[in-house]
Amino acid sequence: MEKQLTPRRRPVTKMQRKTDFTGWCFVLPAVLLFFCFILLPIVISVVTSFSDFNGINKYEPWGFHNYVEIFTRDITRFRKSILNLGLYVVLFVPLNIFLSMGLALLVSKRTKTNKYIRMAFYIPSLTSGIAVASVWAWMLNPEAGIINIFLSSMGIPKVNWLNDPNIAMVTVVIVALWNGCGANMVLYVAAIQGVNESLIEAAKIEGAGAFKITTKITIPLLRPITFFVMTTVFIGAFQLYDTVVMLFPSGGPQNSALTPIMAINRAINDGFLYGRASAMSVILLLIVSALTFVLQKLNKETY
Amino acid sequence: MGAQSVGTAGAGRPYALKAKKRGLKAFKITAAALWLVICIFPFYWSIVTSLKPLNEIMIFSLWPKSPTWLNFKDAFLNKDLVRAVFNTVGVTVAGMGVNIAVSLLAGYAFARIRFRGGKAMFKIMQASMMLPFAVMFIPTYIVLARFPLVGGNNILGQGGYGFVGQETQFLGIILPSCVSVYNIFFLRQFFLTLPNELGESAKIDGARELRIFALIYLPLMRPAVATLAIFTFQSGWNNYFWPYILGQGQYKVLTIVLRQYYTAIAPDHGVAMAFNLIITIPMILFFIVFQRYFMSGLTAGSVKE
Repeated sequence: MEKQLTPRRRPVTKMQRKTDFTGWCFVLPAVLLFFCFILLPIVISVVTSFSDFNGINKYEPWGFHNYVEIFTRDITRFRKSILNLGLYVVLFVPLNIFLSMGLALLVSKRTKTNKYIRMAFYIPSLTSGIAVASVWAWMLNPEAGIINIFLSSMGIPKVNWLNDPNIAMVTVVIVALWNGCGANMVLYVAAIQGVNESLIEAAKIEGAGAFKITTKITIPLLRPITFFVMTTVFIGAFQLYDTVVMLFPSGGPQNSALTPIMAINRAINDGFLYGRASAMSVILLLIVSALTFVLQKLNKETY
Repeated sequence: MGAQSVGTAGAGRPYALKAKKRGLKAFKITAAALWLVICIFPFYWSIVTSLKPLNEIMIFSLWPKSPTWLNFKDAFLNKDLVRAVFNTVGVTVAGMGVNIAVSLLAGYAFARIRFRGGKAMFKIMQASMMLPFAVMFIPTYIVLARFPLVGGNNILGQGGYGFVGQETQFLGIILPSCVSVYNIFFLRQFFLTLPNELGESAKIDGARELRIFALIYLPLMRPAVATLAIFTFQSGWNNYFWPYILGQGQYKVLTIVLRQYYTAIAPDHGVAMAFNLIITIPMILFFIVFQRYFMSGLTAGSVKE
């Protein structure tokens, strides 16, 4: 700990030593827990990914074998899950931002009614993925589900929401949008309400209409919040599990809804391949780190 | 004629503007109403389904023809329900208590005590903040299963089940939730907004750091702690992933019990929807009571950026 100290000329006073002691005492519980349940797992992940660890008694170094296996004989379909994740992100991120920003623009004015509408918009974000998906699985049921009944009453052919490999990820995105837009809308509302009133007043005097004010002033000023939403949505995408496992318990038709977590779980449940599972975790870790790095860079450049 | 057209244009413009404004307003109201229906309908539909008797469920109708409480009765008679409520609340509150206490201490030190190594430690923690649990749940399981001197393990973590055994798995579920870098970060930011002078004057009086923390700053942290507590409780109530992975579905929390209705060979949608409502409605009531904290807490997370 002392090593991190920058070279300082003056000797360490007794006072400083006392402060150091107090400080470390305060953070000690947090540091211990952080070490056990965040740092250590990451280290174990990296180390065991280069071994044939089976979780119990086998542990031989295996070099890059696990990584090579993932790229050649991908038995748990991890690569497919990453592609699914990519598709999910491509569909979900723009739609989510568009919807939550749009909803926020609709109800951002500070009125009593809007407050209640906003609360109602947030309610779908309250419940667990399991509860959300249980209702949606029932509504999307190909035969008795209300959505297909509604569609066919409008003359639109039934959609096979839960059994069509081309539709599976669309289904996931629809449910995730219903589940996720409310929370992001709240963020946008706060940001819109924070837009400087005098800017808008000035634009009004210049003769700008409501539409122009929205597109030329409000939306550009929402850029930081959009980056924040993007970052959280990207990272959230890696956690995708509850809703999907409820809608597609075994990863969907032809693994079309398999998520990375499900693929990692397969490696454990089907063959105690802890080493393989760790290698997948490490790949995810690298992707997440690269993504957040790029997003933060982009965010900084816009200022 | 030229003059006339100019005249009408001049007079017509405000009308056109007004019509445009009215059109915009109508569009806004329609769009909001549409989304409102989309938001509420699944809840309505689960209520309707839960009130339908078994023979009506597969027949389409927007309301139950002969409503019945039988599904709710069945759901309440589920012998796992009480156990699951007890487990869910217990695990959540225990994890939340430790987490907030630990985060308050660390957040305070990182914000207010200028100790050597503190900045570096905080940087290391911060670097891991963006990592989703998905990248480390497998090794976390290994850490818990191989924890020394617990659940029959020897000092090297061999021989027993650690925190994943039948009797110890509730601790295995709680422990990883005891630390959250985000909470430390959040509370540190909050401590930074409090004026320095409060502590300085107490220090002159010779107060110890812990006293300053507990008696001067802690009472001011009430809103921040309330926000964290509410969100932690919400995510605990909804949590499925970790209890499922760790206990392989043996440790009954609410979401695991709900899922069991669907892993059954012939899911009974009526009872499942009733059970779904039983665990959803408390959360909605909780939200209505604390909605002020919900809204401010959500935005506090983004403003930090």
